[in-house]
Amino acid sequence: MVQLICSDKIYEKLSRELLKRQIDIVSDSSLVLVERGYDIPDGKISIVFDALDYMEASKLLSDGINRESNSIDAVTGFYQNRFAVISPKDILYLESGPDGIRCFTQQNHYSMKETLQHYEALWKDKGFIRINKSQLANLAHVRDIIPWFNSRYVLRMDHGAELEVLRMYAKKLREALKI
Amino acid sequence: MEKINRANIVKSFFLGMFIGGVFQWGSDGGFWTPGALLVLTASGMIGLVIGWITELATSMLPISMAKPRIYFLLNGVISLIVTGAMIFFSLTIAGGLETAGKTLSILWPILAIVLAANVGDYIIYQETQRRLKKYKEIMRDKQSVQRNEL
Repeated sequence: MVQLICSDKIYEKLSRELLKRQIDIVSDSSLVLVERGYDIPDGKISIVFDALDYMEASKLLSDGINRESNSIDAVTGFYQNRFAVISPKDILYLESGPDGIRCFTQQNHYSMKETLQHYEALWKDKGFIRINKSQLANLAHVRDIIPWFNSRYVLRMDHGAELEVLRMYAKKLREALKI
Repeated sequence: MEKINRANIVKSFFLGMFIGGVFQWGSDGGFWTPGALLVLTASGMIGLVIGWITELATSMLPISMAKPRIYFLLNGVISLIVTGAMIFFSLTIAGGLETAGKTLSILWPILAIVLAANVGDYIIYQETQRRLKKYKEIMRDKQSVQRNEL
């Protein structure tokens, strides 16, 4: 979380960059990005940057936070011309399609960057499991595992969606659940 | 066709052979008769054909149908059809009601195998749900520990 003290123009650009890097902007953070020329607040850690270097400032901040926490939980999704920060625990499943990756939560579905393989590796320990060529399911949101013919399974999700676990991936599911 | 599990068809072949063995064991001449190998191979082939038809038919079922009740119901129906077909052919081959009684008595172990397989399937289903619940609890605990650490 970071506070921004800068011009409106830079605020708009910087907030977009920070959202992409999954850094939340709040008005009372102890860490502040200050555009040169603006007052540096007392009692807070401030990073002063030139307006032209706002990209560098966001990268520097992002790298620092990444090093500190080792891995960032939240990701950025795009929905109706807006970016949203999504926590993996809110994601029911990810699906790859012709338009890229889509992430489904209880309320919405968001477009996301990267590939399914990326999220599969990133969230392996968070209960995400590949269930077929194009879907990655969050086991924390699976209500029921239905056995099906041809050594397949169907996962009934919390919001009612039904996802098919293909035979090739059924073994992974069994291993995850230690069946 | 790509949904068909070939391993299941091969398993059907061996199950067919096993059932053939049970038939052979219950026959008058005992297990070790000159035609035993032929009986085992023939029953294995019948198993293979039944397995292939079952795999092909079930691969066509839409995933929207998938519900535990429907799965177990269909499993039961398939077992009934297969056993019914076997009884029909046994009666036809036996050639009359006199020998039919003896032939039908051999079918009881087959029914027991089919029943045990279905009960086993249901127990595995229940165990899977239990494991899922446990897995979700572990994940919840893990997340709350991580939140506390942060």
